[in-house]
Amino acid sequence: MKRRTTTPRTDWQKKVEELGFGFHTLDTTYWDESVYYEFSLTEIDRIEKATNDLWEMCLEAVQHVIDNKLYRRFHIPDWFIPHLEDSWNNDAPAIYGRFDFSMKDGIPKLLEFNADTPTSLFEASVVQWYWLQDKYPKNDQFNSIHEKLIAYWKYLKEYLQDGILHFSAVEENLEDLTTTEYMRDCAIQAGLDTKFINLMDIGWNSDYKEFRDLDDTAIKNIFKLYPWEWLVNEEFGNHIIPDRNKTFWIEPSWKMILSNKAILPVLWKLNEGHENLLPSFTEFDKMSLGFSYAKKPILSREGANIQLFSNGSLISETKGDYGEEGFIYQELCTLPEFDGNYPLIGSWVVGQEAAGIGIRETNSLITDNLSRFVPHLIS
Amino acid sequence: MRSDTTAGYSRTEGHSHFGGFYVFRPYGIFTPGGYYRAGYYSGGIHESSNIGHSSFKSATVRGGFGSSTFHVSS
Repeated sequence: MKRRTTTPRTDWQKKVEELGFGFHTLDTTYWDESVYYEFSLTEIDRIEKATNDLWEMCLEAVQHVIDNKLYRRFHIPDWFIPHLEDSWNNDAPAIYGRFDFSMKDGIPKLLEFNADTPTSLFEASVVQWYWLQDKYPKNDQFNSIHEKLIAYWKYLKEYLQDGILHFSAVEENLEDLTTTEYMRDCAIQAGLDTKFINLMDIGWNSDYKEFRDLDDTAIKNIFKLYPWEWLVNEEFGNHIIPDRNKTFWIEPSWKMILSNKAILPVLWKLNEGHENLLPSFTEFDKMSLGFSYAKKPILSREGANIQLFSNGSLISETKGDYGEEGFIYQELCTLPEFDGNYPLIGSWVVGQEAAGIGIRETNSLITDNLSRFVPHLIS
Repeated sequence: MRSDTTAGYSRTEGHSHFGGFYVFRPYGIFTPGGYYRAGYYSGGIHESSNIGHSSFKSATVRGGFGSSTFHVSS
C-alpha cells in the first residue's frame, strides 16, 4: 500500500458534478484527487478474502446473539425484539455493508462494521472509477460495486412484496440524498419500480394500519438511509410492529446487531485469534488489552466519542454526544501513517460478496467527519 | 475490465461504463451558502413524487420519522 501524489484533473469539479457528486467540497475538501493509494494485487486479495470471511463470521455472530438473547448488551428495546428476530428468521432482504479496516503489516484489521447505514457508496462505486478512467485507464481498481448492486437488486426482486420499492432519507442532507438516489438508480436499472420519499413525509394511516407515501400508496418495501436505533425511538417507531403489511425495511432490523460495536467482542469470542480481528471486550480487561486500547461507544457515528490509549496515555480522542449506551474496548491498532496522513479502508460487501473499496484519509488517528475520500488503483 | 480479482462480471448486465446511468444526476446551483438542488436531468425522477403533496391524506399523519438531528453518515 503506497500513497502517491498526482495532479488533479484541471476541471475535476466539473467532472464530478456532472456525475451528480454535489458534495465534493464541504467545509474542507472531501473529494481529494491530488493523491491516491496504490495496492498490490496481493493486498487486494487479502482485503477481499478478509471481507468475505468476516461477512461469514458476522452471520454466525448474529445467530449467536439471537440464540443467547444478548439484546441488552446491544441496547435493543425488548418490544422490538420480535421484529428483529422475524427479519432474521425470514431472511428479510438486505443488500450492503461496509467493513472499516486498518492495514497493519499487510493484513486488514477490522475496526468496525457499518452494516445499517454505510455512506461513501457513490464515491467508491462511481466517482473514483471515472477518475481511474481519466487518469490511469490502463490500471485496475478493486471496484465492482455498481455491477453487484444492480445484480443483487435483480436477485432480490422476487423476494420483495408486490408494488413499489420506496427509498427514503432526510432529503435536506445532500450526502444522504445522493447515497440514497444512487442506490435507487441501481434498483431502477435492475428493473424495479421505485419512488423516493423524504423520511419526514412518510405517513401512518391509522385506519388501515399501514405506512403510506405522499400519494397515499401503501409502503410495503422501503430502503431507508436512517439508522434503526433512531427509527425505533421516534414517534412512528411504535407503528412498525402493528403495520399490517409487515413492510420490508432495507436494511432489515437484524442489522441492528451488526451495526452496533457490541458485535466486536462477540466476533472475537467466537473467532479468537483470527488475523483480521482485534481483541475486543465489553469490559476493560487489563490482562488482555494491556495499556494500549481503543474505547468506543457501542452506538456512534463519524468517529465520535472515541478515545485511543497507548501505553496508558491518551493519544487521541474525539468529542460528541454518544456513549450513553456504553462502550467496548478494543486492542489498539492505529491506522498506517503516510506523511501525517492516515488512511482507513472501507471494504464493501454487496449481497454476500466483497465488492470493492473506498479510502478515507484524515490527519489524525481517528477517522471523523473531516475525512477526505481518496481514490485508489491496483499496480 | 473493472477488477475485483475473482468474480468475472459481464458487460451484458445492461450497462457499459455507466451508460445506463439515467436517473441520478441532480442539477442545481452552487452558492456561498451551499448547494441547492433544483431537479434532475432525467425524467426518471418525478419531482412531484419527491416533494409533492397529496390532497388526499385521509387518516394519514406524517412527520413521525426523521426527528433525529445527527448526521446519518457512518
